[in-house]
Amino acid sequence: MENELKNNFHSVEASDLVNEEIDEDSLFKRVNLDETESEHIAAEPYSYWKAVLRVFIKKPAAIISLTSLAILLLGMIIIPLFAPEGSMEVTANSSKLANLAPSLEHLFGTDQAGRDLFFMCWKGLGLSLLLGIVESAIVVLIGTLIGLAWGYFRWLDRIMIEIYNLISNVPSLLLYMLLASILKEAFPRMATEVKMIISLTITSWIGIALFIRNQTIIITNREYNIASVTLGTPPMRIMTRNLLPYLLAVIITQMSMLIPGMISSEVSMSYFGVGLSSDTIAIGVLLNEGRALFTQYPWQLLAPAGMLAVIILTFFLMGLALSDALDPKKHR
Amino acid sequence: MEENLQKENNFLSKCKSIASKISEGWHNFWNKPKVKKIVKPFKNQTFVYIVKRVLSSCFTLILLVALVALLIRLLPETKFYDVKHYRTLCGKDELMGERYRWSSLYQYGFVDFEGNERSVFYSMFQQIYYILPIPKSIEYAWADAYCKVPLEGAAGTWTGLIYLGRSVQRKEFITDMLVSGMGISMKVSLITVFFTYLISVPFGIAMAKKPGGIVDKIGNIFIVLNYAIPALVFYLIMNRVLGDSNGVFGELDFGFFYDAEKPWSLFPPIFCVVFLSIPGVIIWIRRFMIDELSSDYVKFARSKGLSENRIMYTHVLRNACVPLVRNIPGTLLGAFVGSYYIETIWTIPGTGRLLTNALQTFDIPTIQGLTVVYAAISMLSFLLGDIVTVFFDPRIKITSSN
Repeated sequence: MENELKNNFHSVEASDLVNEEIDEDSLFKRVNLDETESEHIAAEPYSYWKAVLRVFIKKPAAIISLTSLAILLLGMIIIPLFAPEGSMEVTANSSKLANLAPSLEHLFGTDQAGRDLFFMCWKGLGLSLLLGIVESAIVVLIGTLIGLAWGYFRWLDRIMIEIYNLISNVPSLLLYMLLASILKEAFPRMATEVKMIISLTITSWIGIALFIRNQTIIITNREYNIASVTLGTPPMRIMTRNLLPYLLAVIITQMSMLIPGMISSEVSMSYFGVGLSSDTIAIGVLLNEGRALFTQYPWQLLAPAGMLAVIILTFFLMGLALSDALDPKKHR
Repeated sequence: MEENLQKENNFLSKCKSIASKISEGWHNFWNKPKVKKIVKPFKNQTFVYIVKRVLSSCFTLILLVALVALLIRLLPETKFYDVKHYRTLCGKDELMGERYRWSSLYQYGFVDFEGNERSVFYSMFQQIYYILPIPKSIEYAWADAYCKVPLEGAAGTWTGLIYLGRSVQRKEFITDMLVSGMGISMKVSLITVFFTYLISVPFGIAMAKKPGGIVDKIGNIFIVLNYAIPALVFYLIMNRVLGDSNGVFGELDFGFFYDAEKPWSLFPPIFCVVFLSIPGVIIWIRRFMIDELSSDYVKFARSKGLSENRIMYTHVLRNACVPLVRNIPGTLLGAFVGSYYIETIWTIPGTGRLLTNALQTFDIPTIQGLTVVYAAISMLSFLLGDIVTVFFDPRIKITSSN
C-alpha cells in the first residue's frame, strides 16, 4: 500500500517535469465531507434491552419457562372461577366426598374434608405465588438499597458484617416463632399472610445485600467508574448512574431465583406450624395436610407437590435463561 | 517569676530525658535476640489474622448469646406455663399457685430460687457468663425438685468450663444430648458427603470436558429436574418405596425406620440426601472447570502439545479445586449438625432434630445452648475454610490489615 502511494507520487512528479503547462486544479477533485455520512456506523445500533430480548427468546429454557409461567398465571386466575359451588369449602355433604381418588370428576382427587384438590391447588397456587412475589420484591428492594450503601461506603463493613454474622446464626425458625408470638400480642387482628410476609422478609434481605455489596465493589474498581469518581461525580449520582444499571441485570436474576425459594420456605413454615393458618388455601398448607394420610391417599400429597415442582422448575429455568441473556458478553 | 519558669523548664527537661530513656529501653527490650525469637511468630501475618478472626468471632458469639437471650425475654411470660392451671391453683391456695409459676419460670432462668424476678440484663449477662470458658460451678434444680425449697434430691451443682444449659422437656444437660446424638449423625453425614463428591466430581469433569456435548446436556437436564423436586416429598416417597417389605425392594429389608441392629437400614436416607445434593456440587465443579479451561495457561499447555487428559487432571482440576477446598471444613463440621428431615422421617436418634424439636416444644434453654454451638461451628468452619485455602493455594496470601 505504502509502496504504491510512493510510486504514484513519483509518477506525478515525473509527469510534472514533462508537462509543466498542465493546470494543477484539474488534477485534483474536491471531495466534500458529508457530516451525516461520516457519522454512520456500519454495525447495527446496539440497544441493551433489545439484545437481551433477542438472546432470551432464542433459548429453549426461556420458551419453556415463559409458556409454563403463562399457563400458571392464566390457570390460577381462570380455573378457580369454574369451580362448582362448595367444592372448596367444607359443607354438609362434603364428608361423603372425602378422600376420593383422582377421576374425571375430581382431577386431583379430594382431601380429607371432601374438597376438590384440583381447584384447591390452582387457588393455592395463586396465593402462594402472590406471597412469593411480594416477599421477593420487598427483600430485593431492601437488600439492594442496603447492599449499595454497604458496598459504596466501605466504613459500613465493620457494622454490616457483624449484623450479617448475627442474623445468619440465629435459627430462622426461632425468629419466626418469636415474631409470630410478638405480632400476635401487638396486632391481634393482623392477617396471617401479612405476618408471614413480615417474618420472611425481616432477615432474608441480608443475603441479597451481601451479594449486591460484592457486585458493587467489583464495579467500583472498574475503569469507567474510577474515571467518573476522578471527575468528581457525587456519590448519589455514581450509585444511580454507574452502579444501578449494571446491577439491574443481577437483581432481576436474583429475584427470579428468590421466588421459588420463598414458596419453599412457606412450605417448610407450614411444616413446622408457624406459617399460614390451616384454613387458608395455599400450597404449603395443602402439602402439610396431605402429609398426614400420605400412605393411604398419596394424591393428597402428590398434587400440591407436583404444583410446587412446576413452579420451582419454571422460575429456575427462567433464572438460567435470564442470567445468560442479561450478560452483555453473550450478545454477540 | 523567673525562678518558677526555670523550675518548669528543669522539670520539662527531666521529663523529656525520662521519656527518652523509657523509649530507648523499650526499643532495646524488643531488639534483644531472645525477645525477638519469642515475638517472631506473633509478627507472622497469617497468625495475626487468625487471632484477629478468632477474637472477632468470639465477640460475635457473645453478642449473639445476648441477642437471643433478649429476644426470648421479649416473649410474653404466659407462654412458659399453663395459665389455666396457675389460676386454679391460685384459687385453692395463693402460695401453691405462685410456687407453680416460679418453678416453671425458674427452669427458663427468669426467676431465682427465692422467686425473685431477674431482669433482662441479668439474663443476658448470665448467658454470657455461662459460655465463657472459665471453670465455674452452677447450682441447679429440676422443676420437680424446685417445689421442695430448699433444694434436695434432684438438685445439684454442675462444674465444668462451658455450660450450655439443660433441657426443660427432656430433663437432660444439652452437652449430654449433643454427645449422645453426635455419633450417628456424623456417621450418616460423612458417608453422605463422601458419596456425593465421589459421584459428582467425575460427573462434573465429564460435563466440563465438552460443554454442549451429550454428557453435558443429559447432566443439565438431570440438574434442572432434580432441582425441582421438593425435598420433603421426595424423602416421604422414598421412605415408603424403599422401606416397603412387600414392594420392589422388599428383599433388601431396609425397613421404614432406622434400626441400630441393621446398619443397611441407613441406605435409604443416605441415598436420598446424596441424590438431592449431587446437582449442587456438579454445578460448581462444571463452572470452575469451564472458567479455568479458558485461561491462558491451558491454551499454552495445549499449544505445547500436552494431552487433553493431562491438562484436565493435572492442571485444570488442581486450580478448579481451590474454591471447593474452602467448603470442606464447613462440610465436615456441618456433619455434627445432622439433617432434620432425615432424622425425623427415619427416626434416627441424632443431633439434627434437637433444635427443631426444641423449637416446637418451646424448650428455651435448649434453643439457647444449641444456637451457641451451631453458631460457633459455622464461624469456625468459615475460618478453617480460609486457612485451608491459603495452605492449598500458594497464590493467595492473607494480610492482617484487610
